[in-house]
Amino acid sequence: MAKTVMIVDDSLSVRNVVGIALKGAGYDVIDAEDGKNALSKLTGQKVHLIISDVNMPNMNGIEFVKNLKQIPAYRFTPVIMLTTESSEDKKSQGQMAGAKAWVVKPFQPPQLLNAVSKLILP
Amino acid sequence: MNNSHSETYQNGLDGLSVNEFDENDTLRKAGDLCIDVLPIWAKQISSARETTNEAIENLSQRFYDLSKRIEATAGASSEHDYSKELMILLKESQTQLGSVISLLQHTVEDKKAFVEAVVDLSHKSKELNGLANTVKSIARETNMVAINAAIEAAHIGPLGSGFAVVATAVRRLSGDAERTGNNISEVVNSVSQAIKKVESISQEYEEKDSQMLINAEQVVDGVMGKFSEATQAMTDSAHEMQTQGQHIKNEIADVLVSLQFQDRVSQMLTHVQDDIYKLHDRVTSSGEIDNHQWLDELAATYTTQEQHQIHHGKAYKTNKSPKVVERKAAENNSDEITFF
Repeated sequence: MAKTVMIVDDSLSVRNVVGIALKGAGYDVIDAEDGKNALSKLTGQKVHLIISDVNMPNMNGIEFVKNLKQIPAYRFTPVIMLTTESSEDKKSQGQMAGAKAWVVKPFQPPQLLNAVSKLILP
Repeated sequence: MNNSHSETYQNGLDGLSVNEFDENDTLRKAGDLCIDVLPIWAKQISSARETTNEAIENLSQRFYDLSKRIEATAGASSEHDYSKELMILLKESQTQLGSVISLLQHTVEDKKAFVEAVVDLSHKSKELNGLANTVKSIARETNMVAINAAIEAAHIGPLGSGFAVVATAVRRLSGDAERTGNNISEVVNSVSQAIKKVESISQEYEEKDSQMLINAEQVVDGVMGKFSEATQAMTDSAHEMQTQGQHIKNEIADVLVSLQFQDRVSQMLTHVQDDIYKLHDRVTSSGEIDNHQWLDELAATYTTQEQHQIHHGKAYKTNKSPKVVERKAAENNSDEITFF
């Protein structure tokens, strides 16, 4: 059975490129436009990994991860931050929030898939 | 320009020299211009950003849908391998038609055996004819013996009358035997004629059968050859389509990777737009402007390497296509995975 990955990004272009890459690698994909939208879609179903942008309207990626870690069903769901941000300060914020990896945009799909395969839940 | 701002400027201008007055007048006009023009610049940038976003997202979605359709078509094609089924059908047809040809060959061989048997029968009829002639010869000899016996009986006189009766009976029997021999000869000749006719017709049909068999084999070979060529062409075509489909899918994936620029460009324009509004607010409120602090605050809003490079005077210029730029940027970021 295919594993499920959620992509959270306000840019449709980014959601599409991530979606194509993940589906091409055999994953099921669900997407959300921002942190708030993502939390509303996480209703207890199994999600094996989440990829999230940082700078988003309504709820940014750091806040989203903090909120996610408060939900028992998703406490151990690995999160990869996918963002244009590359400052150490932001990375530190992501790590503190509970993210497992930080990937800088623009990215090559194999690069992201490599990170996904290393972190995804069994 | 609002009233409080004008009053502030007016109060400041009192007691200035002519040169100082001109300089401050220019600054005041520049300030007024900023108040009027900055919101317009910001709105123009906003409009351009939104239009670009909308167009790129539309383009991205169309490429995404196209890729999904290609994926679905390729998936359906690989799930149901028509070319493979055709190859199996071709092999089955070859086997079945081979059986039909083999059956025809057996039939032709059976006919040959039948003709050989008929020809053999023709030889037997010659033997029968010989036997009939022998019967006739014996009948004639017997008749001669009976005639001689009748003559001898007549010489004896009344005492030979009994023997004469026997001689007459023998003559009658030899006559019957001769007629029977003739009848057998006629029947054998008649049968022999019929057998020759059958032999002739059979040989004619044998040639036709052989020709028919050759024709059938040629037709079957021809049809199967064409069928095989058509199947191979269809198989090659299907594989080519799958290869091309995969190629197009990869190209689309590349294009989608390239369209990531929209996300970064949008963020850069948003930062510029926000900074313009911030400047407008500061000019409107006549607040102090510390250039260094302003630039530091602006730099703090940056999210991309390009923004920092541009900010520090390292112009981000390129003559390469957006696709190449985006790929290069992505490759440069390959090492930018940090695992916590």
